[in-house]
Amino acid sequence: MVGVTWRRFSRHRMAVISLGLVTLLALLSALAPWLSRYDPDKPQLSTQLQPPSGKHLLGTDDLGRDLLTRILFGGRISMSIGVLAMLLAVVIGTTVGAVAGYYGGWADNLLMRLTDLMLSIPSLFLLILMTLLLRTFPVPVLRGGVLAIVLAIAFLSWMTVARLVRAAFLSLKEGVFVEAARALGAGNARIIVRHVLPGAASPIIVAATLRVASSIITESGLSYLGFGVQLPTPTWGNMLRNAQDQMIVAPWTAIFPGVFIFFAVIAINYVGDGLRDALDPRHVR
Amino acid sequence: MAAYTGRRLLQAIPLLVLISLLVFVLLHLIPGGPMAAYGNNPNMTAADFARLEHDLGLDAPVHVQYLRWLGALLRGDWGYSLASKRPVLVEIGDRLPNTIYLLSISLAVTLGIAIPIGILSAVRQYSVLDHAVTTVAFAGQSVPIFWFGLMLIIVFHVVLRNPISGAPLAPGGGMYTLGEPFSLLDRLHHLILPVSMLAVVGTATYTRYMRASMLEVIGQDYIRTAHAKGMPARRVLWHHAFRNAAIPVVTILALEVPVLFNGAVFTETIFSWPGMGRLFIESAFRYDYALLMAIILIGATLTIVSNLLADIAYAYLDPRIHYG
Amino acid sequence: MRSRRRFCCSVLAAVAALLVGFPPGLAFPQGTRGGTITFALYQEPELLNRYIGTQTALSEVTTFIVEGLVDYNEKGEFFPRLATEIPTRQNGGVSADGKSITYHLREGLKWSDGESVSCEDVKFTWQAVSHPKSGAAYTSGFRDIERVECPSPTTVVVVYKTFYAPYLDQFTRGILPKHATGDPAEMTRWAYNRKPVGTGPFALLEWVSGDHITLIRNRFYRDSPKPFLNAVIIRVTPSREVGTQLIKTGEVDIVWDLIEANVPELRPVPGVKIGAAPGPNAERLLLNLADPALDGPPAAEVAKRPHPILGDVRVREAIELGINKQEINEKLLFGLATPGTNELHIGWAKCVTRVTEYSPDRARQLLDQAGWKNGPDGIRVAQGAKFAKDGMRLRLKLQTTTGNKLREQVEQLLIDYMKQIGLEFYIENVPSPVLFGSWSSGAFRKHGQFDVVMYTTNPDADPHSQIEGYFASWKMPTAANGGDGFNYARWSNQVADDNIKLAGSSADLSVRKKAYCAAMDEVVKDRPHIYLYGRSQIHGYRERLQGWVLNVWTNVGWNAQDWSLK
Repeated sequence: MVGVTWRRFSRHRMAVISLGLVTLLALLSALAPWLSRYDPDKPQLSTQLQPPSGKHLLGTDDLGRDLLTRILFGGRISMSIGVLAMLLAVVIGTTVGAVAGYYGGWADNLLMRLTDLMLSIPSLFLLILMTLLLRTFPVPVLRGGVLAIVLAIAFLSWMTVARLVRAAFLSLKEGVFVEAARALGAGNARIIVRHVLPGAASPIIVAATLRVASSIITESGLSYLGFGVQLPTPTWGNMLRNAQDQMIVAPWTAIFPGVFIFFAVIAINYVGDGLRDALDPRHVR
Repeated sequence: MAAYTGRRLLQAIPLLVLISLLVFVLLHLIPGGPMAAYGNNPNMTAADFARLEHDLGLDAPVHVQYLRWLGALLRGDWGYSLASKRPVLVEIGDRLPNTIYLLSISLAVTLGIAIPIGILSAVRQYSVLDHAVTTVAFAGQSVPIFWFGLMLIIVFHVVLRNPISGAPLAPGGGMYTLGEPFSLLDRLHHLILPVSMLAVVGTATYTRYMRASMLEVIGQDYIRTAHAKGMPARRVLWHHAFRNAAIPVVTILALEVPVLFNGAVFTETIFSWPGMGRLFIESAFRYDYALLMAIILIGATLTIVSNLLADIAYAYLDPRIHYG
Repeated sequence: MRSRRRFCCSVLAAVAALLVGFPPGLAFPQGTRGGTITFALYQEPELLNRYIGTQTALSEVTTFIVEGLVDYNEKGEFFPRLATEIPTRQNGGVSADGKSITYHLREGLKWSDGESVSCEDVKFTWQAVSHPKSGAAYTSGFRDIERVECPSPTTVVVVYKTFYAPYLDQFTRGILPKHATGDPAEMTRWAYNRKPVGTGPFALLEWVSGDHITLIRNRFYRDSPKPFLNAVIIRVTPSREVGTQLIKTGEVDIVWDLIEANVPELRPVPGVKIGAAPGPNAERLLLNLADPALDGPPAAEVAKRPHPILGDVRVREAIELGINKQEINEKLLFGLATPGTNELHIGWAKCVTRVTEYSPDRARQLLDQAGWKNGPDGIRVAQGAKFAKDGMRLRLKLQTTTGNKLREQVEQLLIDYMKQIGLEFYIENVPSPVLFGSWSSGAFRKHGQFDVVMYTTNPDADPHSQIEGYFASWKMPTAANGGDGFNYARWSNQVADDNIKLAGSSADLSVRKKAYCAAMDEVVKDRPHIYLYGRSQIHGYRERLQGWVLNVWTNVGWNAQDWSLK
């Protein structure tokens, strides 16, 4: 099964290149402390706003810190937010979709109305309010911002997954193997987890991959508008925010973090595209 | 059809009430509050604070405040902005047309580019053009919109200059040059960068949808039949294929209304466009409750209505669908 | 006879006023008449009534339109605007008990709609602002007025119930026209709030929300041929940066409230000039001397449960000595700020105190002495500290408002400075409505639930309410007083208390100044606040604008009647 999928995936040239790029970005970020000899947070006022050079490949920021180092460290946070928000959104979405699709009836009705409700509120507005609220909660771990943003993004992005999962359940639950499992005395939870969910895996995997990309963009947008992670922790978004009032004198501080966001996002999107081809052979490209 | 529309509209009412409740509670859970605007004024005493808080009705419990707000709304009173003391509707009436102006022109540009290119790309599937289009569209969908806006300013407002006058190629913000009489050219000039910023993501998205949808339709039997019957290719393309391929695109268009608003928030912030998006950000930083509630409710209503319109358009364009 | 004498007096006073208002070296240029200037504001006024609004942008705009009886000149001293002279004991304007103040209005004053200005308008201003339903924010002093008498249309007698030290500040925010406003109980609904009628050199023509406000010359301005300009257009930009771009291209003539970082960018631009002068504000660290676990403790409680770390004055001193104020000023503020000293570093009550020297060695010694010993990771741990249990880490939460880049930069430097002396700062910034929230909204600053907060505040030209509010021991916000006062540090000091009381009961400026400075000496020694720097007020303007004088005590447009184009 995995072999077949990989073979199909590897036919998508851009997806393979992108997978390499994503892996590279993730590795570079993960290994940042060992790759860079600069401290990402410590101000170095003797080297403020230097353009790219041999010493500082991408230049320095307003406090004289090496921009590349901060971008790599920022990648850790930005990509983690993307992945964590996706995981949480998938968990919420799958649960909601599975319960709605499997049980049907009033549970379905209630959950789908909730989904409609969430989809009807302009998401950016709600996202800003949620982040504001979560960040000011008297819980220290939320105050740092990372977890607050993960929660906010996840709360507002599970709906697509929920709909996908529900649709898959509606078509799968009447399947022969479910009948068989039920005849063998399996409980509802067991049937959902062991028998129906695997069948719905393909669309979830694809949606989840694309979700990572959009969560990275959402984080950067939130940070850009001023609702991001606490300093001095760098993220791609708050680096951009920090750059905007010096982008005329030091354009590199605005260009490079955006370039990294762009490449991370496009690569993840291509991987998602490749996965769709690989997992869903009927899909025409 | 009318009955269906009516039922859907009726269903929207409890939905809107729920949304308003959710947002109202959320807003009031956030610590701080609009009174903070007075928080650093040494000339105000605690008694002054209490008096103002009472005048504004901010000292009542949240559920009382909500019921008051809802009651007033049912009488058609949207309340007053806490900051400007003006009626919320007047405040929004000042800004909404500017947002609609910006969004509709962006949308026109977006569709004007995306539909022909999407069709062309589909008709010539796997050609060089098709590959180029898919790649560019993919990139367009992956670019952080606000960053793209900043780059537009760097390139077209700061770096590139008019070789003759030395003026920036495009204005970096605003709707028109202040103090000058109305000029269509000036208006268009000010639209270039914000519209480009808004159009990039949209064009990418719709090109891909149009292409995919067109490919799907071209593969269908009735198109092949039409070709086989000797119908001219152009007529088949426009009369049969395009009409059917447009259906999913229209649906998506309607579903993307909230996305358009998100784009407006960033575009208006970057290009100093006096619209709803900026009004929202300003009100959020000021905790201007009544104004925030109104903006969110209007946004939600538009979303619901556009979803409904999508369904109706779907029914109109696709004779196979019939709503009872 | 009597009226004749008064006429002579007022002519003399008007001449004197001109001399005070426009000091010799800055004589207004006889520019050509006509022309329009554009003024970039990065904040849109909420409305244009200074009694109910709060922002600076609001007063920036109303300053062109609305005038008070007296105002502050660029030295922070009073000069008469609508009044003919500053009331004093000597000229009979202030009664012996200091409770009754007499102003004489200039003859023939007109509102911008042609109606006459009279004492009734001043009386109405008092009545409107102090009306319990007015919704006015600034009522201090107005509530202490017993009555306003109008013996003649141009004579105003303000009688206070009790002595009110900042009485001259009372009518600086402007006089409301009785005929062009409305019912005081409806003040927040007045049409006036969007289209004020005033006596200033300009009148409002049009306000396009979110875009611009157009002001045109006031035909009825008292001092013909002024104003010289035909119009002032106030352009609302979404950010300061947009404004700086616009002045570069010549699209605006003035850009308001620049930051230091804009200066190197604008200085080389031909045709653009920078106006900068130290302002009264002071960015400070406000240290909580009480246990942050307590909820709004009064002074007696604070003495029993001090802050485990900041309760010890040696730690507070170490923090200040560990901060390189000079470096902050040079590297982040381009040397344009003044390193912080005390609350009154400028103005008539200026108190001269020395800037503490940067001395991390001395800071480390102090911390050693205070029982904070080096820990394994370089951060100190309590071992025999005065108020902390042994083993406690020397770690403090640092908070300020989100979205202020300079503060964010300074915070990151502070983290680094403190790390070098073995103290750990960690940042938890919040939106400004959360930091500056009221007692009833549960704001942590009011309730004393913080370690260190950082922000800017400044005394008015009359500093009394600021000094009393922040440093008097009876001004700690508690449940009992409904959260009144700004003594968030919860600092009590007998010497300071006595001197603040003394200053508040005297009409003699030299007595008051001495008393304030005695209190400031205690603040400097005891460090409830650590002053980091005082920002300069910086505005950019194009050379073609003539006649503008920077005044840090009021607003850019304070002498707009003298502006002209080259």
